[in-house]
Amino acid sequence: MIESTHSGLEPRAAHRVLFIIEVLMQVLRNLGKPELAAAALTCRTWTDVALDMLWEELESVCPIMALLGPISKHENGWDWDSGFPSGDWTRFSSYVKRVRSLSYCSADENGGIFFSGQMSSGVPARWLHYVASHSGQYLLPQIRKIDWNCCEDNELEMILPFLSSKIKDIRIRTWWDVSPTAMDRILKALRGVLPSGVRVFHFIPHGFRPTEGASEHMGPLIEPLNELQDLRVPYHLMVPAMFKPSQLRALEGGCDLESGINANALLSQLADTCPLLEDLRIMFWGGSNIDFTVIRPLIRCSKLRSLDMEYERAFDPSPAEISEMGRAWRELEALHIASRRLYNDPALGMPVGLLVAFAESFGPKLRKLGLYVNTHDIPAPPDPPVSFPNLEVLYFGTSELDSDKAKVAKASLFLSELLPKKVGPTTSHRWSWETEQSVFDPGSRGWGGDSWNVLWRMLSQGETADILAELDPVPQALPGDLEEIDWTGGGGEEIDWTGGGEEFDWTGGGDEEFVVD
Amino acid sequence: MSAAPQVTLESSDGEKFKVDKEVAERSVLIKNMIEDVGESDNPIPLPNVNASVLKKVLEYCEHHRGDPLPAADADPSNDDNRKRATEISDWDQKFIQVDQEMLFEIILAANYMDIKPLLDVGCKTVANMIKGKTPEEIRKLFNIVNDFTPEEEAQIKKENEWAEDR
Repeated sequence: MIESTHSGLEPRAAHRVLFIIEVLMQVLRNLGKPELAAAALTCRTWTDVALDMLWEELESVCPIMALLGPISKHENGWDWDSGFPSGDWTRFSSYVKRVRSLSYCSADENGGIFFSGQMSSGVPARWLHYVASHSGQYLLPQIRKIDWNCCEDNELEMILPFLSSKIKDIRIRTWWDVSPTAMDRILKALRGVLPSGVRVFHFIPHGFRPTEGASEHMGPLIEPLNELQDLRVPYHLMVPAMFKPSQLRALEGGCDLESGINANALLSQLADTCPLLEDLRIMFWGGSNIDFTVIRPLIRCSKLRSLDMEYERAFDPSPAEISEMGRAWRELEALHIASRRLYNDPALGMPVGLLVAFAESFGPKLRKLGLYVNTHDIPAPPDPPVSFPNLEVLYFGTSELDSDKAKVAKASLFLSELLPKKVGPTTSHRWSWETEQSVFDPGSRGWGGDSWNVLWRMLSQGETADILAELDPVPQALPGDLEEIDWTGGGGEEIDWTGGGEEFDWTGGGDEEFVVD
Repeated sequence: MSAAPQVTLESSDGEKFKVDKEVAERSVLIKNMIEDVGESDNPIPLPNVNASVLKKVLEYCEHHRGDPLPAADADPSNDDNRKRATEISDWDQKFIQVDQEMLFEIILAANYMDIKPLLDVGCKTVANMIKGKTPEEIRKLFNIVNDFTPEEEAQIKKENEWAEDR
């Protein structure tokens, strides 16, 4: 079988290259799961290589369960047909040692529920029994990454048997019915099991109303994780301990300034302890205005690539302060800094003319910009001309514009000079550039996807020229490709961007459902 | 115009190939040998590669002489790398349209001579041949002997049924 010494009528033997493990690995690496399953059944040499790859990343726990006996879908989810099977544990071990990454998902990324992968509630206890009866062993001894996406209390705790001391990346997302009590319990339980080498920890509950207990566990849970690089926690559970890791590159959190926390001190601590920070998404509730002085400590985070800051009051920096930000954040690609409460008081927000200062201060790296502006005074286009060279998306909230067509035309003219000809889609409903829910991602679920208003129509559908023709002077340059500026002014009838609407209360104060993912 | 520095390679069957050093150095093996030995007029022996295969390999190196060298730390298990999967450029596609024996010999040579992009093209080509085939069809295609017992085969099939196309 090894050497191709075919002669005469003998059948040609397989080429030896097919049995060189490194080459075989490189071949099989190009195959998907069904093909790997076929490859595993080709011959013994291929089996191990193919199975290593097939089992490396599992998107369900079912294959693991099925190793021990027939499983089927019962009322509560997948379970063994005949109780906990005695199973062939040696065989079982030979498979589970290959697993590096496991996803469990009983909800899709938008919170839609599908039970196809759900485990029966009795299963974890039996796993735990297994783990307990094989002391010193983990169910998945080589697991590095676990992604847990669930929508019921009991499912949340099902993650525990699958963790091991080698886990580096743990992402928990809950939907709908998971109660604060269950979250408390899991945070407490994780305190005992998460190894200090964890690099990524996401705990992103949906509609989570925090309890005292949860914040009590979050700090001690995170504190020992010295290698943490990426941390996302519920907005109410930001605790000082999460600023300790000096390796932190991404942080998502928030806090209630009414609780006595000083935003400036918090950001100062963050800047001091996390100099490597690249992505910061932070939300503040309550408190008074956050002016530039409050966020100035972040100037020390020179590696920032994305800053997404949300709060309830106005942000109204001076041109000098905008310039300071621009000088400090040379790597910045995305900036969203604003209050979504602003619409309630159109007098607030920075004047739209300050966009010129942003264009002057931020370099060609800036691709996404989200600001809330007022349009009381719309200046003429800057002279000499200034523009954002590489801006791809612009996300605006603004005071009312729609009723005054001359004003809209002025805004259109101003923007057409300032923006590159190719500014991409800006319609979205969110205020983060996280992949799943980018402010700037077109087609995101929810509000804003189809929003329109007079300015948008003017810029995108050619009505501008007619209106501007009545003005003097007639503008020459219009952004032909500027298709979807989401200039969601207060006058937009269909959409309420004020944040005061029932569906969407970020203040967390009310009983309404609010989305914190 | 001064001539580009050249080196001579000698195949397993004694044939000598004089090529530009830059072309030969697409092979990390040869590059290292030249670095170790220094400039020399002696031919560099490649005892594992015969003339017809070496000719083909050098054709590839010649065409790709100006390409940037692949990053040493490119992790093939990385998602992105994996997803790029079976894309092969037009020229490479045409280049690799050879009989199975030559394909495998090119892969062997690329592995031995350490020419990662060529090894990659070869392996992707083999992967494309596997796609959509049953184990029996794969065995037949490559003359692989089924060395499982029927029980073993049934067990592995059962344990991995979940991965099969539905």
